[in-house]
Amino acid sequence: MGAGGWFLVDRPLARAGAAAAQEAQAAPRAPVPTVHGAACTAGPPRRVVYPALGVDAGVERIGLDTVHPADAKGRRRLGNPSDITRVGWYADGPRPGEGRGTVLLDGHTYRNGGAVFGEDFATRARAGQLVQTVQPDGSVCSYRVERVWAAVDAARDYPRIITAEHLYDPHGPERLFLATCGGSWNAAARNYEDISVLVAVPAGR
Amino acid sequence: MTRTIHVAAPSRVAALLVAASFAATGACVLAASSAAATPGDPHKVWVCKYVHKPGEDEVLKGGKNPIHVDEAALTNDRGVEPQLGDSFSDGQFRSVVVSLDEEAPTTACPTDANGVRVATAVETATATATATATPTPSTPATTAGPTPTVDAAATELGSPPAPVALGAAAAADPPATAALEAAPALGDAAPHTGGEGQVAAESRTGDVLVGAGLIAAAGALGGAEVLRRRRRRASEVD
Repeated sequence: MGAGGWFLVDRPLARAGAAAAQEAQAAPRAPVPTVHGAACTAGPPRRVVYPALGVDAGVERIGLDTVHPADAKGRRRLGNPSDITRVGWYADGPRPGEGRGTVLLDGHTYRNGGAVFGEDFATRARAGQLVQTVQPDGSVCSYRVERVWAAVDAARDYPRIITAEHLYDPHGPERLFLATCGGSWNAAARNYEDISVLVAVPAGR
Repeated sequence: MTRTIHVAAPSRVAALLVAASFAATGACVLAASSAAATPGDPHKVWVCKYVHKPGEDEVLKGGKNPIHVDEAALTNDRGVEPQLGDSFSDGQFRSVVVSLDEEAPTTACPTDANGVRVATAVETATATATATATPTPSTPATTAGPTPTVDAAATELGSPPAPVALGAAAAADPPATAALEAAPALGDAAPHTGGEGQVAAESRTGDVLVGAGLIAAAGALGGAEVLRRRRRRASEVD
């Protein structure tokens, strides 16, 4: 009977499936070409291209996360896209090309590799890389990655970084913020305990 | 002979215990798998869920949206097949059925961003109910546009006239300003951007196979025990 309990609680088969999925995902995504277009025009992004990580994805407008409870100050965490293959853009915040504030983007990382970002985000994201948004009029807003916080503790470190670096600042200099989960996997919660964050600044403008 | 029986008794008990354990495990795994592998519930529909003040300040619920709800949570008459546009019983004007499929729709729910409304075909059909939530009275063409996709709305926003429209809306309509000032409500907790994907679903097949295998092993052990008993009886008769 003990064996049965072990099976049901730990679900080693699920882990085996995860391992298989990870193997399938092990092959790094091939880089995609940078996008060329007219000079950046302010507007809601339509696509996000991260050439070095092989990401070229559509954009989904997101808001605040109302699924999870608000914090002690009544604030809610940044939402996430319902479509895991898209990048979420916080539509109540600054838009790319607006010249002010931090453009907030996030996207999913799934263990099976089916989401917009791969588990190798933390190891492949580097300062100096280009992140681009394609605007509704076809223009391209390019950003150069300035800093990466790779696989930091989502519960402990993320809030500190957000606060210390003013990463949610809607009024400061224009920046691009991108976050996705990854790193330590919590089998019980079936989610990552870590999250990677990068900040990029406008390039060529 | 007697000594043989004394030696076999504990092993028989052990074999039975192992068989019972295998059978129970297999049954549990099968039960768990069948419960988890239940295909899409035909009585569920997808609804774009809005929050805040109904009819006045409805904004798209953050996080997962659209949501999968039971037909019973719609305001239509019970027993009537749900249709696109049926209202969700949350009191919101804009919370309506957007898909009857089992799979989640890939089109994002319409949202209000920077005071510019994004309408869907479903909302167009229920335009009367949603008119009060439209934050761009000075630009009715935006809501009357036939294209409900996010991209199309983005085009409207990003095209040269858009800043003018946005500025006009912001000046004439307080909700647009409210939307821009929603940023302070953004908490610093990490967004939930991770998941397992279809791993669990993929493992269901494996669960079923292992469950069946365990039951088969239990059966084999039980059969072996029966055979052993028969042989023992036969040897005792001899």
